[in-house]
Amino acid sequence: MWGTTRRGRAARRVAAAISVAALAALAACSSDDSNDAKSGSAASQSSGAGGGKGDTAQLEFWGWAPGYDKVVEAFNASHPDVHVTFNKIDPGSKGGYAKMLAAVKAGNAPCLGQVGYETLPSFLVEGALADVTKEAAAAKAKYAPGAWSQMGVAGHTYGIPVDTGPVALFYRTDVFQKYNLTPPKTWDEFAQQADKVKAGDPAVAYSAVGGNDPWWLAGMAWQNGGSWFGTSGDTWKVSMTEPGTQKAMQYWQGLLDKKVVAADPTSTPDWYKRMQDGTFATYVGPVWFSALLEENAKGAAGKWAVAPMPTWDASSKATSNIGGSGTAVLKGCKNTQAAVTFADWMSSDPASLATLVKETGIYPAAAAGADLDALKQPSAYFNNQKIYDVFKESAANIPDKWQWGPTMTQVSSDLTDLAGKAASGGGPLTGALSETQAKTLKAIQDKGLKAAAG
Amino acid sequence: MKPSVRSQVLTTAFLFLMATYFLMPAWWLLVASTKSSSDLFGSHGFWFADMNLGSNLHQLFTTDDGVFGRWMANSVLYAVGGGAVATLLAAMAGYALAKYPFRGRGFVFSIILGAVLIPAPMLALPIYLMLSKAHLIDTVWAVLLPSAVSPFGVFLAKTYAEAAVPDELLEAARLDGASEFRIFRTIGLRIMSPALVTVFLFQLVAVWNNFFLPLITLNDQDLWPVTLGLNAWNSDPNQPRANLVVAGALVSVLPLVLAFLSLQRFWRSDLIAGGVKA
Amino acid sequence: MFLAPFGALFVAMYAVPVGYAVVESLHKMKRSGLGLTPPERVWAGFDNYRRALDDDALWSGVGRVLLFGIVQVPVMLGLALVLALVLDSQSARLKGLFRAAYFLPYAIPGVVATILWAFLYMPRSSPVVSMLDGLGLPSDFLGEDAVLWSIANVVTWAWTGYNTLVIYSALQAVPRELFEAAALDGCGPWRIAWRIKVPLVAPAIALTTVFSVIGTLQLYTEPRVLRPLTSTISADYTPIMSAYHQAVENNDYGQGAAVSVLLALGTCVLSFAVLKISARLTKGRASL
Repeated sequence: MWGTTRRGRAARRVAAAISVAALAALAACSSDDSNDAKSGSAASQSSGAGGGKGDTAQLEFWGWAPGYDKVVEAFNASHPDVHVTFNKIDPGSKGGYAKMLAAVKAGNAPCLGQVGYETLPSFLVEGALADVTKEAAAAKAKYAPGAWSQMGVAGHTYGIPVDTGPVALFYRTDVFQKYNLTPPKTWDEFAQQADKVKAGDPAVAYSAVGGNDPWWLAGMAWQNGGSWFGTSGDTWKVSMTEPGTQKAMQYWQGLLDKKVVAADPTSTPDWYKRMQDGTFATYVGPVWFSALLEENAKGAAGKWAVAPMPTWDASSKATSNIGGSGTAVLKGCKNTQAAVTFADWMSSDPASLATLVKETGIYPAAAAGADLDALKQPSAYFNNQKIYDVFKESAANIPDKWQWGPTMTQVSSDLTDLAGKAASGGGPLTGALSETQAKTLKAIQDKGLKAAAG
Repeated sequence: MKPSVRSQVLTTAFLFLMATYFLMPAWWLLVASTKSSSDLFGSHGFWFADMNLGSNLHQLFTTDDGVFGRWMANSVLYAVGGGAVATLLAAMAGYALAKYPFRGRGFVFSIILGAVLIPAPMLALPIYLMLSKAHLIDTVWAVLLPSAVSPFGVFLAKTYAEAAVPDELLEAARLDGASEFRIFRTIGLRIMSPALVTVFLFQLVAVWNNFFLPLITLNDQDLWPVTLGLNAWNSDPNQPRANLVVAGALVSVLPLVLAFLSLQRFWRSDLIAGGVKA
Repeated sequence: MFLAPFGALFVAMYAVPVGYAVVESLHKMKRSGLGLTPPERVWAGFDNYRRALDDDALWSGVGRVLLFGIVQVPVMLGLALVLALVLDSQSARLKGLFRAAYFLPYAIPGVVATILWAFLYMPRSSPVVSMLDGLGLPSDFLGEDAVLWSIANVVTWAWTGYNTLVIYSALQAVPRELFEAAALDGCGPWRIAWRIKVPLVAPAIALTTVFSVIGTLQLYTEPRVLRPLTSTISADYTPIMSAYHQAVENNDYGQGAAVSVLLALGTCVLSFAVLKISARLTKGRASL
């Protein structure tokens, strides 16, 4: 077999060979790095000079949203001076981001990439973004301020926002009818209705809690006007225990303790099954959830409706945001001006937005997007309700102070693990958040950045 | 001495029970692939609902201009091409390690064996960086080149060659004036062929299942293997295509199952056990 | 000469990447302040290794796979041995058919296999759960206590047939006359199995053990696929998940590489240990 008599020696030899290979690679890698540095600076020089020595500027664009390919085609048809090539990649967290970062590292990244708002700061600290503050300045006025700020950090801009995720309340009309309920206006009313439904049928959960969905938890906190992250001078501020978050988490914890809401893992086939069979009566979700619901709970057509997100008191209008993404300009892009031109066109041109609303199901970040015809149509699945009216109102009332941090993959997975456990009965949600905060501070510091609680 | 009827019945019942366990998920897959999206979660998993296999298959092969067929073809190309080259290279290397004494032979062999211990995800990024230096990203070579190396195959080929290829035969051929390459081709390869089927099957499965490397090295959807394509369909949040993913999963495992069942009689797993009886 | 083509590709696809990983494990990215300027790669010495060894989550991952291995590997190989012996016995019928059925899971890719089982684990859609409920046996395959064994089941399902085939082939290679002679001496089938057959296939069992141990330490696909379905599988549930999480999701390749190097070394030590122990146990019976 594998050399019984020489086993001990073999082990030593493996060790020796690994160190030899390491030395060889060391030599190879150090030359690689100097090449990268050179090509990097060459790229920034040529982009400074305006790029485009030929007639047509060539841009590559990676993203995963359906419909982007059609928008790119339309752009190419109407803009002879710029040609964009679109490549569909896997969704960011499913491998798309890893791919973009690897491409940046190898020096062959595309000019543009679809990047979720939550991931933008991470891309920045990995050195994967190009600063386009100057190129993009003129476009700023076209976009909702909250969305625009998501594409930047500390006053610098790195791309153009595409869509946002205004939040509303999805509810089952059949369940509401049975218990004679009207959509709750405040969280107090929401909690009372939850008790009522639980008393009527213990098998029905009044609402589904995204316990293992960090973005949903953030969305609940977002409504209260605070932010988990911020910058102060050259330091990242982490405040996942700020009062607004505490308030929201304690509220949901109370409902969980009473078992009037359920914390099943989200977006699984089982979860959608409950959405379909009526054992979830409500869900607090973003605009893009409407498309998911329609696809995954086809059998519940006509039974779901949309109402405004409940608020803490009747006079407040603040809503929230979950998700949303933009088109970021990646490092190494040789023609940043053309890249911004395309990204801006895609996010604000009425024809492009109409395509995106129809094909991708987005809610536009551009202020003018709210007037699109496509957003005035009734939705068959929602019993012909004009659901976008609700989301339009919601979009106008999203607090714009929210910021994301530089290690969101870590935050996301730690929060998924900790809050997921907490929500399924392993302790308070607030504890999961403070534990995540401690881990986050350490993770940011491990990256060599400055971070402080607050 | 014939075993009693009772022991035959008991034994067969036991074997049957175990077969149920091994076939249960496969049965689920078969049943699920005949269902529409809503029946998939709305009807009993182990029995048929409305028969939608035809429409699922039709949809599977026509969605996005029939890109699924293309993915299948790519997978076959990568797995068969990569597997064949890997097998040939492993045969040559194993033969050399078994039949040509040279200094450091044991050392080279230990290094190759050591490769089995390396966690695969770690290799992807360095390979990606090298391939991109060579401008091979987004070409079929980005998958084929890494697939053409099988350290485990070398191990199998060497073990077999050592035991099965007689030195005397090689000596006799040399005396007849045959070139080393000719000896390898006419004697070595021929005698080693049963082992090589095993190596080929191993590598076929490994390449077919390969996921992370094509994920980062291939941008063009037309070059994707079927694993990547199904994953993309599965994880596309805007267009869940559960029925297509299930039907696609069934279709994508069929070639492997067929390859195994048809090549099973050549399968030399005793090789792996080290007890070669040539 | 015959080694050259393989050698060249091996160096390119294994040796250099491993070297790269080792070198990177000794480096880290240096950033400052908010990180607005691109990071710089600097020498880190053994910092990454120190961080890895200080990481409680990594250690609990190691503990988890060890527990997994101590239970799953013997169960799977025991089952494989029994199946191989039964298939080899004279009482068995339809051997070819059963062999093919047991071997079938091996041809199904790990990801697909896990997705299949996931459908059978999900509390509300699984036909298995509903059948058990019908029998008055409530089950929670994805719960805190059960999930590790649910993963073990997927691995057992996928690999038992393969191991059965390996042991079975070893049995088939033993000359039949040996068993006939033993039977003439008055040995019953059970005695023949345990006293003659098992010792003869000991090397095959030792080898499947080594490969199973390596596979256990590299456990990744199955928990990764099940993770979105349950809150009981964390991002660093197993050591490889931890390495992958660092390298790919956190984009800290140096840290991930350090974890991988440690893991490869650990695997190396453990598989040699298994070989050594089994060599001692089978000493005098067969050469390993």
